[in-house]
Amino acid sequence: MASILLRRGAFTAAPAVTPLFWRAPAASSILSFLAPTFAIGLRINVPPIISDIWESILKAVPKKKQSHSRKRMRQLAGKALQDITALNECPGCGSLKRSHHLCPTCVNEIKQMWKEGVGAGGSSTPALSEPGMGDARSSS
Amino acid sequence: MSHIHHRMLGRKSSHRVAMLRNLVQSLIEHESIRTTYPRAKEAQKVAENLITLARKNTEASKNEAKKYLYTHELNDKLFGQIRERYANRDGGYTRVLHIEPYNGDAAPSAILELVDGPKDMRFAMTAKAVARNTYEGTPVHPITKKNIEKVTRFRTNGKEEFQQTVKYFVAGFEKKYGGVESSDSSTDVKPGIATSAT
Repeated sequence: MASILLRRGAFTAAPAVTPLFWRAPAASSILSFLAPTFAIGLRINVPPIISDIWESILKAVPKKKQSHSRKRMRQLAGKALQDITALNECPGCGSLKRSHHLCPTCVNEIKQMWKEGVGAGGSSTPALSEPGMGDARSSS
Repeated sequence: MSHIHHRMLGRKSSHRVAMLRNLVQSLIEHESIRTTYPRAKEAQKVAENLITLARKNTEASKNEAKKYLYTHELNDKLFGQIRERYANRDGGYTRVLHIEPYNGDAAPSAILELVDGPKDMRFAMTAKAVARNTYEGTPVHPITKKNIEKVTRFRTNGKEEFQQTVKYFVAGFEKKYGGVESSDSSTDVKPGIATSAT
């Protein structure tokens, strides 16, 4: 409080130097008599000792660190995986599959068929040197 | 970016081109490849262009194709077998089919295949669908009918091959669920046993 009063006194006294200079002590003594009421009502002044921790600790802050669980729950709210509803029946085996996608069971079965050497394209494309190509690849 | 009409595939130009060359080469070598959907679509463009070169079958187009492919044996296959296969087909030599993701990262995956080749997945799937209808005695779905038309139209001996493949699958069904139904392509068989079988 005293610091404010001194500063205010200095501010008012600054423009006119000499006439107010001797009056300043008297004014300060009157105001210092009223000072405690101002101090209690306004609470403007922060003592320099606690000014460092004023912003961080003494203001209203959460009492506890939020747990990992609560933080993740908050941040992932509304981001759950969507259900796949675009499903239909595989015409080849009757199991459930995604629409516009091939059924994995049938794909594997057909690949197995090709491995056995049965199936499509036996005559139209008589396996242009499949082993030959394989050899070329393995040698390179 | 709207003026750029191809995917970057997360690579710089040289890397991307090299990857596409590898993919297309594998496609021509194996007739069917499994990769991610975006890569399949990009490789599809290149493969179609390459087959167009093969159909032109001039000195210039041969040189162009030679420049693209890493292996020259494949050049012979491209200008021999594949050119003959697509002699009557104007475009649409390749096909991309969605499959379930096979990678750990669940990336959208696809099969890129040469149409009417020995590894024609849609041909086999359609045959399997027809085989199931035959086995269960149910009518063939209109979309399957459309697919039969698509799959056998340009293929040499397409209809016969299709019937053979259907027979193979019918035999498979009989082996798996019991050969109560008739193996011939008679459509009016009791559906009761079929539903119990499935």
